[in-house]
Amino acid sequence: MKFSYNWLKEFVPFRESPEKLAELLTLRSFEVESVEKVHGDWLLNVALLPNRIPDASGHIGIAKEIAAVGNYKVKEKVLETKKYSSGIARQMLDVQIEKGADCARYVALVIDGVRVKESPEWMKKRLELLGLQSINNLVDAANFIMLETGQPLHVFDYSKLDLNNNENRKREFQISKFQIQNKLKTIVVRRAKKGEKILALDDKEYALSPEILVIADSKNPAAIAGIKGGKDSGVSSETRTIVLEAANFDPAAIRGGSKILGIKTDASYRFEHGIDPNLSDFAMRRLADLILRLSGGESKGMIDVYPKKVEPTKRAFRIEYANRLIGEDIPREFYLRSLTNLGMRVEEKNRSELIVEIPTVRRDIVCEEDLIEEAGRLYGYEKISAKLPDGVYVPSEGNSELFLENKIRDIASGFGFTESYAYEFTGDRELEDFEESALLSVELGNPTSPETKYLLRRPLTKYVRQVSENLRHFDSVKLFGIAKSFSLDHVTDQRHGLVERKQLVLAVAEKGESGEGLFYELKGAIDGILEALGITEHIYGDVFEPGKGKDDQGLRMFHPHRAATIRIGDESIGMIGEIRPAVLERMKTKARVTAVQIDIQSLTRLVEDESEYRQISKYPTIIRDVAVIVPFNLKMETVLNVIENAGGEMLVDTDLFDYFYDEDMRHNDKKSLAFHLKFESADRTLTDKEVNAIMEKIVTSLETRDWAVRK
Amino acid sequence: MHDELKKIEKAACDEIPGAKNRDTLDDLKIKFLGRERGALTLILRGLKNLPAPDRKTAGEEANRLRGVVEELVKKKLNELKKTELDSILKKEWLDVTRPGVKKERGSLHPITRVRREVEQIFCSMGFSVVEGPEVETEWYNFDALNIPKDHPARDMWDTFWLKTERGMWKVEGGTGKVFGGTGHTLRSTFHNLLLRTHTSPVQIRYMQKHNPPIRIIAPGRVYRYEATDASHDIQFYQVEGLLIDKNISIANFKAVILEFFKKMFLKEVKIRLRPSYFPFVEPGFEVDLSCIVCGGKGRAPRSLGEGGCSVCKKTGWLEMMGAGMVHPKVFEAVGYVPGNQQGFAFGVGLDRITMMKYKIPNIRLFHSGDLRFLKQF
Repeated sequence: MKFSYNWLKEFVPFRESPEKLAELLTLRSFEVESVEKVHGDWLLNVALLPNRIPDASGHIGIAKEIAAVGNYKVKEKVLETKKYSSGIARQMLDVQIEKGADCARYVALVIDGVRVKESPEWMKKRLELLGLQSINNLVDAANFIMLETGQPLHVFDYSKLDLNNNENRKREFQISKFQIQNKLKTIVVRRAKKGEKILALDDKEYALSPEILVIADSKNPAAIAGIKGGKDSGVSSETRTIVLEAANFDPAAIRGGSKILGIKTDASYRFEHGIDPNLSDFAMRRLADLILRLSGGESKGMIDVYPKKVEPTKRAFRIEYANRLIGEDIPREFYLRSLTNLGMRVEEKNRSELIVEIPTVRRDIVCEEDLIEEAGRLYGYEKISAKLPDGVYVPSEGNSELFLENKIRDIASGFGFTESYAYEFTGDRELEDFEESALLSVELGNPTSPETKYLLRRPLTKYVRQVSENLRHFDSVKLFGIAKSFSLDHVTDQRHGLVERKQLVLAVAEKGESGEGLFYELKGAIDGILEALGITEHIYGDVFEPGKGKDDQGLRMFHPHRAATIRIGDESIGMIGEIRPAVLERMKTKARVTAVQIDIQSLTRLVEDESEYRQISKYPTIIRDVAVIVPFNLKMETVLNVIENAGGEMLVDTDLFDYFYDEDMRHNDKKSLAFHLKFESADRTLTDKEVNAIMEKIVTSLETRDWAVRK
Repeated sequence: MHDELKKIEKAACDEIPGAKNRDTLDDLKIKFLGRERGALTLILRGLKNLPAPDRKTAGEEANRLRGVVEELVKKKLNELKKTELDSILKKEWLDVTRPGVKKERGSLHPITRVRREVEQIFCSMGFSVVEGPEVETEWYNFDALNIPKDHPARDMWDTFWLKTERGMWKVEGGTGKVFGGTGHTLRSTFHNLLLRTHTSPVQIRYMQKHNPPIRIIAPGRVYRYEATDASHDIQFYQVEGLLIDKNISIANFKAVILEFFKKMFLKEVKIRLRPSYFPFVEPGFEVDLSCIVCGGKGRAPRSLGEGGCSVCKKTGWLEMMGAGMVHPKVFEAVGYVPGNQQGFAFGVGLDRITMMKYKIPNIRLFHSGDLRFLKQF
């Protein structure tokens, strides 16, 4: 909000230069974002705190704040106003508030005989400086007093309000003959009726609804209360008699109306933060004084509808508590003085406790802590000396999930993967690109764009995309990340769940690679990571095994013959696979991309912290190799099972060291697998003879399956 | 005989040290010590023809000479071996300036790195690290933090809401699982869901389950519904801090935060607190850090124009965090006994610290996935 340095000086005789004043306010009250020199004045751009709008959104409010923080006295004389009696206004105008909660106070003042003209130069200049356009002396005066007091004000043309010629109304209000002669008119603060419309001062027509508060005459809305005036009831060059309005509307009603209509004005901004009802009559008198001075005319009297006067509240202020919360021994006298300077009435209950009466304009001060803040900021936060908290430091609690994640990050980056972050949003287009259904996606109510329509369900897609994009600059890309997956979990039609889980994703691509190598590289990385976490019992299962893995629908993005689910026991913990070429094509990637996703929460439960030392065998190990030619599509695991079954307990370890096929073999649907076999006994040295016998058994069992053992 | 021996000794002493290589040395060894025709061998063989007394002295003399020659050969041999080895090694010279074999090295995201540092600093001060869900209920994100519905303070947080068509939602305590339904009767106990706009809901969740003393930090991703630019993004990262005990004060906050910034930026820094407003703290303040680039000297007069520090925009201060003393309404919301505890809370932007630490100009780089950016860390 903008404030004029010169204007502020009219209320308080402070000595600070504009820059010094800005610094003082920044440190004690609220941030002054900029000071700008304009035509012999300085424009202070103040980031008013939202809870200080009620008291500080006018120049007088800021001036009072400067007086409090700078230890000055406000020039009370400048704030004096004339008195306005009720006069005959009541006979000219009837003010009604339909629902007390909507409007705490409505002050109206009628002036007859005004002359509408241009505003004087000094006022035009000041309004312009503060960003308001000059319109005419009446409207400008209302804006000027709003900038001065913070109270939004409005001017109606009395002649344009509808006459009360309805017989029922006359009876209802017991209107006398005299009043009829005086053409009684009505102002009602009420909710708009369905279907009502108003042409506002901005020349736009707005459709109104019962959520919106209006100021109406006996027939139609004349203004959108607290938001914008109506064109028809506004001031024109012919205006002679005016009704001034200084009202106090319900913040929630104004906020609601402003949101529905999409209009934010200086007035609505102030009202929705709540202003002091006790400000209305002061602002009205200031406005009347100014208008009578600028446009002539005569007051016909003031009407003040204020059924429930807001009284100042009192709060206890414990000096010991204030010192304890601030952490500094501040003398009692300081508290007394500073609270008084802020316009509070302070009584001393006893040596340790004050009773503070809070002026109604300080709507932000509700509890004792609010008062402590007031005193604290006036004392100066920079004067509080830093003290480390007392007490023993209890060692912090370990967080096993975070520990696990950090370990994973270290291992993955050690394996050459670079960590990347991704947006947690996705849209229909991206889902289509990956052939993903939106069925289980969590939808946002107010996306910023089509790309943020859903929360991300499968982070893997983001990493696949990032990897492909990086191929423009790199030949080989290895990315990983830990991201959140959000998905719906249907319980019943009536009830459904939302599941938020962390997933580890790794994705690799390399230009010119067939994809086969990438798959095994990634698989090796996953095995390495899991092994480092103490997990070795995971298995890779076929993706399209019917009934296994609940997550089948996401699998369309994978190569049908190069993907697997990763399982531990019956539980699926993740998926690995090459991305289907059709998907990659949509991303304009020619290289193959392989990716894996692992559910972090599942891992947390499986991780073994403690590893135990295993006795190293005292007896020598004998190593033999076996190579076997098998059908191309036979799983290595099947061969291994045969070997291990035949090998018996002396066969302690097997290790595939060669997986080979050349074009010829591929053509004949063959491949060659070669294993190192390790034999060991826990209680004696194995002899060659013993091992030979086992090897013979292994070879026989391989050969009975028609697999050629290379000799 | 004696003269002959002398002659041999002289020859050996002259010739052996001069041997050019192992072959000549072998020849010399044979010449003097050879079993068949070696000079000394011949002498020794000839001893038996001498008279007994002479035989003894000559024998001793010859044996001594043998020792001398052997020693000479041995010495020379070692010398030659060394030279040979040297020349082999010399041939094995390699170019130390040729690049090493490239090892693929991954790296951690800069925000991860900064987050770890922050966690380490606070853990060393006894804080525990906790996390919370990113999809939150309106109650945890706003109401419990003293930001009631229809309060204009809610405008301070532009919020992504989840679609309500599927019904209102209910959070199952602590499991990260949220249940929703469309049944009208359920409405009263069900909440609107949103993407958390700050990490502050984690405070609430933690306080509901723990009694003071509390020392936690809660790092994590947060979301804001807003237009993106170089310093704003729809998702970013925060660390929330909370310290609750019997007598925690603003003075304590200043000390803890000062320690944090000193360790984070590894230099002497100053902080200043400015009054501010966050509904869940009272008193509330904004924390400024003396500019880590110009050391707080950027406060050049405005007239200086372009000359000042661009990082702090010549103010000497950097806005770093929002903080304050936990509001009694918040204690009330989590069910604490009023007046039994006091403490501070703060929230600091991880992106902002990261951008400052590594001089990163655009926040959107963090989610770009661009290796040219990520590889630098």
